[in-house]
Amino acid sequence: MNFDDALVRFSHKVRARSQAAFINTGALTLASIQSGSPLTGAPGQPVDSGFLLNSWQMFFPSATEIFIATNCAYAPVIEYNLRSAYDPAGRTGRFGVAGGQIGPALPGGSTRRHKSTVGGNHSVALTRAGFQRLVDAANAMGAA
Amino acid sequence: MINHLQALKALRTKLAALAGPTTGTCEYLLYTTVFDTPAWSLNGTPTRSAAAATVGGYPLDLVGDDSGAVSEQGFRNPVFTTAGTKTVKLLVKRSSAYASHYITLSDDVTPAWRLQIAIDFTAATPVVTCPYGTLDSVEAVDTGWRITATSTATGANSHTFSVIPADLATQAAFYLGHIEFGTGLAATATGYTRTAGSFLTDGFAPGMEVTPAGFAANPVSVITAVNATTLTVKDARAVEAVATGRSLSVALPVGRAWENRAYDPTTGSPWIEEDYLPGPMRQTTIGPRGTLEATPQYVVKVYGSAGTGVGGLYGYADALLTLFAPRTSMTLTNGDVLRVRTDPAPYRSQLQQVEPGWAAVVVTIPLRLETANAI
Repeated sequence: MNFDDALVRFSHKVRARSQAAFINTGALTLASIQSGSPLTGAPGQPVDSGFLLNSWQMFFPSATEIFIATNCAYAPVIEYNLRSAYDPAGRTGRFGVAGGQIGPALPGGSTRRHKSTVGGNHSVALTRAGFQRLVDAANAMGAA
Repeated sequence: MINHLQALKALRTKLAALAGPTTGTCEYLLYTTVFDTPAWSLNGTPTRSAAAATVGGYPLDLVGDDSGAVSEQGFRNPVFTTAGTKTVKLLVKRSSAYASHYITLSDDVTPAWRLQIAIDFTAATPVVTCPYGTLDSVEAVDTGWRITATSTATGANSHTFSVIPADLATQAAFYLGHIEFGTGLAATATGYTRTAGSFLTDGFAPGMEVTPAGFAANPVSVITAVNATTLTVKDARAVEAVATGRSLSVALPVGRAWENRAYDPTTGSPWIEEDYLPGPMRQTTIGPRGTLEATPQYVVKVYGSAGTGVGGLYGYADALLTLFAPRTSMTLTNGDVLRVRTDPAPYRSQLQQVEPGWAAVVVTIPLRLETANAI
C-alpha cells in the first residue's frame, strides 16, 4: 500500500466516523429528550397515553443538520413545568389521604406531580445544557 | 460534596436583587413666584407685579428691568442633591411689546453655564434659543407658553438660577412663573403622574408590579396602563401632591412560589415560580480530592395576566437575563463558587398562554458548580 492509498483510506475513515458521530449525536439527543439520559440528567418525557413521548421526532433537513421537534400542543407545559388548565392551581401533587382513599386536592405551589411514574420536566433544557457530553459520547461510540 | 441547598439559597438571594424599570429617586424643585424677597436675591431693583396673569391655572409675575444704566436681575440658588440632567420647565407670557429676556443656570464651583434660555418676544409667539443646555419644547398653554429645556447639574456644587428681564426703557416686561426643576412624582386616585420624563422611556409596562417609595403611603400595585406622564395601577390609592424624593420601581414580584411551598396566585398580580434542576455531576480531575463538577439549572417562570401585552413579562425576563448574565458568580457560604454558564448562556422562552387568565415567560439559567471531592 503506497502513501496515496493510505491517505485515501484515512480520508474515508474520517468521513465515516464523522458521519457516525453525527448520527449518534442525534440519536443520543433524541433519546435524552424522550427517555432521559444519565449524561445530561434529563428525566425524559412523562407517559400517560404515550402521545407526547412519540411526538418527538428527528428529521434530517440536510446532510449536516438534525432537527428534533414535537407537534404536541402541551409539550411546553411539560417542558417548563407550567401550571396549566389541566392543573390551574398546581394542586395535583398534594392529595389528602384519608382511610386509604385519595381525598380532594389541597392548595399547593410547585409540588404537583404528573400522573406518570416515569419522566419529568425540563428534558430539553437539560439535554441542551449537557449537549457536549452527548457529543463526546457519540465520538467515543464511533471510535470503539 | 456539591451543596445544592446552598446553591439554591444563593440563587434566591441573587434573585431578590432583580431590578426592573425605575424612575430613580426623583429630585424636584418648584418656584411658584419670581423676584419676591427674601426667597429671591435681587441685583438692583427689578420691577415685580405679583400674580399679574394666570397661565395653565398657575399665577405668573410680571417682571422687568427699570434701570437704564445697569442690568437688573433676580436669582436663587437651587440645591441639587443628585447630579445629572435636570428638566427645567417654566411658564411665560408676552406683555405689551418687543422684549428679549434671559434665564440662566450656572455652576458656581466649577464656573460654567449649565443652561441659558433666551426668550425673544418680537411677536406674540416667542422665539426661544438655548446657547447652553438643550431646548426640548415650546408649547402653547392658554394665552402663554411652557418652555421645557434640559440642563445638567453637579450634585455637590452650588448653582445660581438667574432671571434677567428686558430693560423697560426700550422694551417690555414679561410674565414668568411656575418654574420647575427635575421630576416631581404625584399620586392620584388611580396611579401616578410625573412632571417631566417618561414612564414609557423608563420601561414601565402594563402587568408589572410597581413599588412606590417616598410617598406617605407606598402600596405595591400592578400597572394597568402606561403613557409618558401617567401610570395607572390596579388598586385605588391615596392622592398625594407632587413632591421631591420619591421613586417608582419594579422589582421581583411579591408573589413567589418557591419549591415545595404552597402558593396560590392572586388574580391580576404577576408572580414567579422556581424550579431548581440539580443536573448531572462528574469528577473532572483524576485522583483523590479531585474536582467535582455539577451543572445545575435554575428555571424562573414569570406569570402575568393574560391580555396585558408583552411589555410586562418581557421586561421581567430581560431583567432576569441581565441579573444572571453569563459569567455571573455567586459565592456560597462554604466558599464554593456558583457560576452562570456561557454556553449555553441563560435564555428565555417564547411567551406561553397557560392556564386561563395567565401568560408566562420562562427564563432558564444554566450554571456550573465545582467543589473538591471529599475522598
